[in-house]
This record gives sequence, structure tokens and C-alpha cells, in this order.
Amino acid sequence: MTINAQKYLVGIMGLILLGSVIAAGYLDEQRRKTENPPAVVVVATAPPISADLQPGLKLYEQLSCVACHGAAGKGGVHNINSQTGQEVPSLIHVADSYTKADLIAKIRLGVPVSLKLNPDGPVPPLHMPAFKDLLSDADMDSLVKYLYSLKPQGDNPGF
Amino acid sequence: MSRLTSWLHERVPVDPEELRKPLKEPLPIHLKQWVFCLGGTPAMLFAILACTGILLTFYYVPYPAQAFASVTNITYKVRMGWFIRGIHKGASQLMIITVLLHMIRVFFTRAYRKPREFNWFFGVGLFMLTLTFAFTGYSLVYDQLSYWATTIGTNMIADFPVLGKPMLYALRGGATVNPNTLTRFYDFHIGVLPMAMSLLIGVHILMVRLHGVAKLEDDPRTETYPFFPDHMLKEVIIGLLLLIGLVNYVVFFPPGIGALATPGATPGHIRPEWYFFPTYRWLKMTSIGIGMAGTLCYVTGLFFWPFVDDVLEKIAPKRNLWLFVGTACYMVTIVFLLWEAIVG
Repeated sequence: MTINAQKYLVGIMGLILLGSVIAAGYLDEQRRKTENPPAVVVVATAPPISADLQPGLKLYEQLSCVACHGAAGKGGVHNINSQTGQEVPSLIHVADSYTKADLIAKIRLGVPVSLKLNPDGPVPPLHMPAFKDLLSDADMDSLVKYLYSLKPQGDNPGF
Repeated sequence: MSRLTSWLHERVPVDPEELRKPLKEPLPIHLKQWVFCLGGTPAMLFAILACTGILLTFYYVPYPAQAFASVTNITYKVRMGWFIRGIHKGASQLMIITVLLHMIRVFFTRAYRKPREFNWFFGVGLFMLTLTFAFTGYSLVYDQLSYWATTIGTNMIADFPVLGKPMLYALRGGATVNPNTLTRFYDFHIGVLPMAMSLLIGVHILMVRLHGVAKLEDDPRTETYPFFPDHMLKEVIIGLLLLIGLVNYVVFFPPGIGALATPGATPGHIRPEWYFFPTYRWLKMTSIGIGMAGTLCYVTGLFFWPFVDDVLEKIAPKRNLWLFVGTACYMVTIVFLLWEAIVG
């Protein structure tokens, strides 16, 4: 191949590359059309808690619950196209919504698929893993006790 | 000389002709073949990785509680985040492939022989750095597969003789994979490794310049051609071809993310990334002790290959033992890779 032919080839390839990047930019708009403006997910530091809740908090962090449900279970982590307001649900009201047995069952079984808000939209990327028998009964008690304590102050923690 | 150039020359007293000399360097005629133009590609990909990597650090948070959420954010929320992450991920895989292809070309043309042994060392060092880059980068995603790949990958370090345990502890920042591990891997990935890689690439290119490009054995031709624009154009064409392929791959197959890393919940089927398949298959076939010893022997053999070649030549002159041994090693590596990829 002559030098001139190679120069033309570089020019044509440059144009193809430019076209491909522009196509990617157009697709980016399409991908984000149904979503909110970009935002950085920031998980705030959890407030100090009493000693009896520490084992539960430790498990909450070790098992990475905090990564999705946020510090102190306040939620706020984006989960695109999920029915729960496109966010991972907050846990501050589990004491009102779940009995201890139901909550344990939820932790052990997880939520294999997050339901879609828009049936034609993408599958929500985050779902809750099943912890099955990874937690002993004592650990599960500590974790549930901690989750129940997340209820806003002034209310009865439940057990 | 125009007023502007003389003003500039007064302040930067460098002769432009001296700067142009390396560009005009005469190259042996065999370099006109495309297969000899692979050396510049990894350097181009490294530049792309550096640029996209810097953009990713704008949003990535290297702490377990936020790492996964920040990668999800980059992939699904940040403007063009999926594209930048896809290019970064794809370029890292391509870099491994192109470094390998370049090494194979150097190997089969015996361009590592005297006096270029040191440059082979630097080349193997660059290959190891590329793999370490990929491993540390993969671990930062903090989904289930990356978390467990990190756990298993770092576990193997413990089986190194004598220094294994202290090295494991130093790398993880604790007995198990924990928040310290992620920050250490992040530091390596964005600080230590890029510096080491830039330095080695510089030395590697300098050595090529000092020695000149190796001539092909048994090639009687003595003609040369200039580096610029002839050879440079070929390198640019290969680079553009890769970029077009990469951009379109990312457009059609944007990157996703697995389930969140859950310490204690080992997934049913863990496998490292494809570039560790041969090692992984070998370790699965043997005990951990033999597996690690074998891997160390392989890497040491690769590193000191120029001297191994000399020894083989002394044992059986003109019998091309180097070719048989080298081909056998490459074939075993490819068979192990395909075996793990297909059977798993």
C-alpha cells in the first residue's frame, strides 16, 4: 500500500471513528431519556449507636447491606427503573412493615429480581441477594435488632 | 528564521533538527510487514486507559460501602459513563492481547537475543504489570465476581514460599479482604502501577532506540525505510482500527455490573477473567503447592528466556530446540485457556 493510500485510509478511519463516537453520544441521550439528571451517590456516615446495637451494625456493614440501603438504612442509592421509586428502599420503617419472622425470611430469601417500573425499560441492576444460612440465629437476631432500631426516634423499637 | 521561532529558540535552546532525527530513524525493510507494527499499539492503549481512567476517578469511590454504588452510578447515570467505563474495560483487555501478540512476534523472530536480553526483561515486566493492572482494576468494581476473584487471587499469594503470608497481609491490609484491601488496590491501580508502567515503557522504547530494531535472522536485505511517515502511518492505522472496533463493541455491548459483593456468600461458580484461565486451569489440575511452583517456574522461564535459548543452543546447536520448547509452552498455554473457557 502506498504512503498516499495509507494517508487517505487514516482520514477515512478517523471519520468512521468520529461517527462512532457521535453515535455513542446519541445513544447516551436515549439511554438516559427516562431517568433523572446525573447525580453522585453519596452514602452518609452512620450516627453513633449504643453498644447493644453494635454487633448488628457490624453485620450490616460486613454483609454490604450499607452499600445499597445506605448508612443507617436511609436508602437513596439509585436503582434504575425499579418500582421502588428507582431507588433501593429505605429500611427505617421495617419495624412497622415486617414482623421479626417476616424480616428474617426476607433476609434469608432475598429479592432475586427487582420489579420494573417501566416494563419496556432496562432490568433494575440491583437486587437483594439471598443470605440463606450464612447468618447464625444469634447474628440474625443482632441484625434484626439493629434494623428495628433504625425507626425514627420516639417510636417503640418493637422488641 | 521567523521572529517567533527565533524568540522561541532563544528561550528553548533546542535545535529542531535534533528533535526530528529520531523520527527519521531508518528501519530495516522487514518492518514494512504489518505483523511488525504491533509494538506501538499497547502504548496507544495505555494512553487511552490513562485518559478514561482519570475520568472514572471523578465518580469512583474506593470504599466497600460506596464502591459498588459508584460503579452502578457511572454505568447507569453519569453522562457517557457507560461509554467511558466500556472503553476502559475493553482497552484493558485489548492491551493484554496486543502485548501478548507483540511478545509472540518478538519470540518467534528471536529478537530477544544478544544484546537485547535486557529489553526482553523489560517487555516481560510490562506484561506482568499489564496483568496486575487488569487484576487490580477488576477488583475495584466490587460486585460478587470481582470480590471473590480478589479473595481467591490474593489467597494464592499466601502459598508463596516464606514471604507469602506477610505479602498477603500487606496487600490486603488485614487477614481477609476488607476495606483496606480496596483502598490499597485503588492506590496501586491509579498510582503505583501507572508510574511503573510509564517508566518501563520509556526504558523499553529507549532500549529499542539504543540498539536499533533487531534484524531478521537469515534475511539478506539491507534496505531501510524511514520511521516517519511510513512506519508511523501503519501504527496509526492499526490503532484506529482497534479504536473503531472498541467503540462499536461498547456501543452494541455496553458494560453491566453483577450482584453486589457479599462477604460470606460465595457464588456457585467463580472464575477469574480469561487472561488468568491458563493459570487457573493449571491450579485446578494440581495441588496448590505444585500449582504455585509450576506457575513460578513458567514465569521465571519466560523472564529468563534469552538465557534459556542460549543454553538450548549449546545443548543442540542448529536443532532449533528453542522453537520446539517455546511452541510447546505456547500450545500448552492456549490449550489450558480454551479448556477453562469451554469446560469451565
